[in-house]
Amino acid sequence: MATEISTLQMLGAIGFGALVGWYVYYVNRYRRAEVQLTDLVTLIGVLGGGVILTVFPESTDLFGAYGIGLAIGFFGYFIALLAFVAHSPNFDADWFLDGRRKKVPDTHYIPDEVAKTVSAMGGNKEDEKPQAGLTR
Amino acid sequence: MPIAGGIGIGVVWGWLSGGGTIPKNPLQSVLFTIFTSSLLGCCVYFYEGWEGAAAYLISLSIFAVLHSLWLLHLFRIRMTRGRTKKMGGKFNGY
Repeated sequence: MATEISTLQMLGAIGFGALVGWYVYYVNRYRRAEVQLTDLVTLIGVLGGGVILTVFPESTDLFGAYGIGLAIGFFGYFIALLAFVAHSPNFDADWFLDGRRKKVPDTHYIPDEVAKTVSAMGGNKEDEKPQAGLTR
Repeated sequence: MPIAGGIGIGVVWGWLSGGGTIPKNPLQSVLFTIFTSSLLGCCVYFYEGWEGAAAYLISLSIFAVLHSLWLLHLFRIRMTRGRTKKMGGKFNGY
């Protein structure tokens, strides 16, 4: 059954997808422990789970618009990170490999309540020492 | 836009799978990737049929490889930088 989809609905689906995609990168970046099955279920639910399938009717362009928005949001976050690292004197490409960065000088400090990340994709445990090779 | 949803989900999950989201144990990694990718593939197939599922699988594979290659590229940059330091640090291409 063909369903009429308005431009506003399409834009809404893209925007919703972009928001979810941005958040998927954010959540994964700040994840502190190894991947658990519950994380997996959550992520799968976000990407293609029951809520999404309910919101966007089957075989309509809305699901496609959601997918496009998802990629835009996810890689938008990644591109923003690339831009920040490129412009910051305190970070370079090594941060993407194992999270290394310049030490904070004595005149500055990082408040304890600021969320900590280990690497761009946040796969390492916090107490793990950076290695010379490819670490995740 | 019948396959765009599959592509969108495929590129995101491919990037995550190829770049360190998966556990470190090799066997666990393979099982994890196969299981999650299959599950998402079923979701896409339910919504967009075989075309969507095929687009999902292709984009998943491409972006998983792309992310791994990108990390290898960064690693190569680091190694090059290390070598040039030993040679006097004259190379400043990066």
